Amino acid sequence: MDKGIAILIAEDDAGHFQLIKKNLWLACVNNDILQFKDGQQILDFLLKTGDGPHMDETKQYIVLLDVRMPKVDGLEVLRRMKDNDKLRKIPVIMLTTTSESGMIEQCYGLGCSCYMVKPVDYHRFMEAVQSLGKFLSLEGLRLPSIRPSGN
Amino acid sequence: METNNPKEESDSDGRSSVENGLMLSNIGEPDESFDRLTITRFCLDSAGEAIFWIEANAHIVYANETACRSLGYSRQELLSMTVHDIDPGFPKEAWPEHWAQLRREGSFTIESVHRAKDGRTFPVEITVNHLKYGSQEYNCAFARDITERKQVEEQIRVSEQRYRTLAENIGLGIAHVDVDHNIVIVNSAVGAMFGRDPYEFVGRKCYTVFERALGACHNCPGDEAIRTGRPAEMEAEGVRSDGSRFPIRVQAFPLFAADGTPTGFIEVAEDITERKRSQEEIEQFFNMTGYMACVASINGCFTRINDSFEQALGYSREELLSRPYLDFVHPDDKERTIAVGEENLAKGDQVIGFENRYRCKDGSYKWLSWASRPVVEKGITYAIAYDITDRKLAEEAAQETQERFSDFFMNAPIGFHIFGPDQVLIDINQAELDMVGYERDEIVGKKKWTDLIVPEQRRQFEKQWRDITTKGDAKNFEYTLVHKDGYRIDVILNASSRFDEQGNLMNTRGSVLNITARKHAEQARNRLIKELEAKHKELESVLYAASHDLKSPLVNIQGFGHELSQCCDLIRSALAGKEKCENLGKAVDIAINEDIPNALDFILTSTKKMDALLSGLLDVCRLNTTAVKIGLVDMNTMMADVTASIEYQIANAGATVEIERLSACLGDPSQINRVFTNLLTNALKFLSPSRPGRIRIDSRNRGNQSIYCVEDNGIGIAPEHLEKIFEIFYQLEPGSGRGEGIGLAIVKRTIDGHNGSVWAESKVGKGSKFFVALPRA
Amino acid sequence: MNKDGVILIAEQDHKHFDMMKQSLLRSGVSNKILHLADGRRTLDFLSDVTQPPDGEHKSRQYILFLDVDLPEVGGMEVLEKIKADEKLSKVPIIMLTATDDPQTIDRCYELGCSTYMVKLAENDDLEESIKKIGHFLSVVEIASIE
Repeated sequence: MDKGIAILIAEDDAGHFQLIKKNLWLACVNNDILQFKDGQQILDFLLKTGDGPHMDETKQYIVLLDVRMPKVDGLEVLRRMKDNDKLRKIPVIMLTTTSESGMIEQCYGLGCSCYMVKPVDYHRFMEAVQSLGKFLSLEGLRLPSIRPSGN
Repeated sequence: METNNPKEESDSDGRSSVENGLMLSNIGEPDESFDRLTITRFCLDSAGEAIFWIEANAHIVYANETACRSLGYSRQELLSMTVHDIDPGFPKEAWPEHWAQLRREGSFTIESVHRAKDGRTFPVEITVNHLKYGSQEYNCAFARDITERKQVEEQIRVSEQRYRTLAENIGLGIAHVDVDHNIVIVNSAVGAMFGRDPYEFVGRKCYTVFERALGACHNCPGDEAIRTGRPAEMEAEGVRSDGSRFPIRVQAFPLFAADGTPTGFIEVAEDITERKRSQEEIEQFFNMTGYMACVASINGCFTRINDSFEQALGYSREELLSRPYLDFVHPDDKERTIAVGEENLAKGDQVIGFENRYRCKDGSYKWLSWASRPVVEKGITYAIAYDITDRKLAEEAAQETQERFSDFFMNAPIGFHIFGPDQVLIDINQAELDMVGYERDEIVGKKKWTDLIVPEQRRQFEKQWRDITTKGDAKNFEYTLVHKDGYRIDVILNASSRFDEQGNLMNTRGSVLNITARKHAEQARNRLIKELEAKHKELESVLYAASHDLKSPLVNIQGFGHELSQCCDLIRSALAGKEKCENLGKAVDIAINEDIPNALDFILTSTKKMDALLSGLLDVCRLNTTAVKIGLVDMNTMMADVTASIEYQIANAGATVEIERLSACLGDPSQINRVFTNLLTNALKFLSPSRPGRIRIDSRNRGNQSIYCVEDNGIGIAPEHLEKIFEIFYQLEPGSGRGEGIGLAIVKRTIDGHNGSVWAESKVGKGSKFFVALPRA
Repeated sequence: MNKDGVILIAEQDHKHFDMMKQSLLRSGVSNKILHLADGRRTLDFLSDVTQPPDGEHKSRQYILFLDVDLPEVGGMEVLEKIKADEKLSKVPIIMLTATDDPQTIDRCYELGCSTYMVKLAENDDLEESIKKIGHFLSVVEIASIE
């Protein structure tokens, strides 16, 4: 993956975050990984509000989103992102414990790129995250630009 | 005296010589002739007959004493009269003819009528003789008064006519046959009977003609009558002229001469074809099987019975005829049987339909229905009976069935009714009366089904009525009856119709089952099911939430467990000295000091989390099993208790709690306590750091509820969370240590269980209000 | 993706499809893989799928690999139309195309594609890529269209 691509992970559980990060690294994903502890934080980043860090529009991003998060949950983040002209292009991958079909449909309905369930079994967890990592590492993968190139 | 051939004798003088002439012819001597004359004169005078001497001119010249006496004239008178005077029927004009006839025939006898002096007429038989005495011609007439003889003749004639009339018109054949079986005479009826002219019979043998037999019948009644001297009879077959046969009944009466010798016999023959046919017909009827026919006498015995009688009762004919019929009658029926005999039969009244029991030979009894026809004059009764035992048994059975049905109808625990074609009630049983609360006479004949049901169902019934009256039945229709007292009863109606032969509706019968209890039970059950479903759903969602929330820590436990194991591998290989790497020491160092503690930390935290979640889960579930004990809750004392128990937390948070005057409610005190404890602790958790926390609790009434409000000035809750906060495990800020998200869930479930409601209003940054509605005390 | 799910490949070149299919199968994918040769067919197939169920289309889960260059109806139009349909919008669409134009890429993401993959020239790499994609698919959840 292009070094310029940053992976935004909105995950409230510190342990989950660590495990995800490790397995992405094991899948040879070396890109910047930004951690957000709740929905509000990532929204602030993306919408460039609040006190925390803000998004760089020249960069390309992939978002990994947990559904259950404090303050603003993943579903709401997804909704707001897809409502936003600039942000809607950013591919959002739901990565969450919930496998409830209603939730899955809702997320796809809102326009997520795909939905992944965190398996409890660690080997499968590793397999899932590393698959994701390898997928994201594919040479052919193309991401959109926030600000159209040439501007 | 010879009168037949009068000798012609000459005579010297007139009459007296003529008188004497006759006598003189036979006398020899003149002295002797005077005696003889006197004797002769005496004879003449005294003769029983009237003697007349009549001249050719019809004058009477001599009449004897008898003549005078019979006519009532004196001799003088008579001697002056003519024949015509004494014989009124003999006209003068007829005399010459008569005299001519006299001359011609000399003597003949005629009948005529004499008239006496007193005008009395009487029939006479006159023998006239022509006498010539010298030149004189005389008619010597002997006249006999034949009045008696005429009378006798008349009697005989009348008698004969009577018998002839009888014989001709009797319709019976009458034949007079002599001892040799020759037919003397037959009447026309015989002719008609045999198809012949009656004269053909005369002179022929009776057996030839009547029976076409060659000899006398062996049991000829005529012979028998003659033999016995009494009438005899037999039945035989006559043969008509055309060869056809017919049955006859012959009675013979013997005829005897004066000396007792038989002269023959009278046969009276009757064509008994009709009678035989009638008899046969009667016999046919009489012997018809299946009907017991009999003739009984006035003395109470059967005199004649047909075969069916024997067969039906099993006795022999002798047995039945030998005893009074009352002997066979059932003891309980004897009195009635005697009564009907005395009151009806004895008076000559027909009795039809009288029923009694007769004992059979085997001891059993049969019911018989009698039709009896007495003929009082003959002292007999004709009767037929037929066996109605089966019918009686059927009647009894029907009676019993009827009683059983009636009993059942009346006393069955479900309602029965009968409505007429006009929908008006005809009959109703007790159970249904009880259902509607009316007395029988209040509704029978007065009310219709539509009067008993709730008004809104009347249209439904009109539709159903159409079904009932056309198809014949209607099943399982639900109706609501209105009791007399006004309350409602749910029932199920099953109705069926009865039609007459023309297809017209006679009545509809229905059963009415009270399903009120059942309906209530159904409703209660449905309610329970709904409740259970709701509870089930809730539990499901709880479980669901739990399983997800438990997964999260498990991911960490597994993941960091793996990490731990990797660290151990590293250390192991380091210790084993297998790996030679510059950074091995560093790596081990990192492992021991960073990775392992890190991993352990995560594992422990996760297990704690899981433990807390499970406890919370159990807590919520326990709410289900704990019974709610409703009582009066004094909210003021209770809130005081709550605040007292969390005094420490309140102080720690630096908050103040204000409690207004609270109205009482109905609920389980301990559970209500928990609710408000949770609400208060919640409020304390979400206080704003920028201002001192203030919590206020008040209540107001609305309808039959008390609504309590726990208000805080904390950080508030965003609108999207307001509903979700009551969900189990929902946390506003997970990981912030502010509980496991079950407090509010418990609040909601508890209040739901009290039939109350709980909701929240909030403004972010300003504060929140939690409302609890509970039944007012 | 559950085993009932169907992988649709809208690809003009049949040989490419075959190769892709083989690679997917080798990656352990056991789902049905269907070839849709042009845009019209792709749209028709998917619209049939939304009709009341008949024996043919039992599955409710679909994932579509879409080439931009399609005859009849172009890939972009297909993407647009699918994402405009209420029921079909939930079908994840992975663009798999030779086109490597940023504008096209942006446009596709804008229209709502899941990800954009460029088919690289060397076949070996492509096969490897497809295999990785296959692995990824096996860990991904797909929505059912109803």
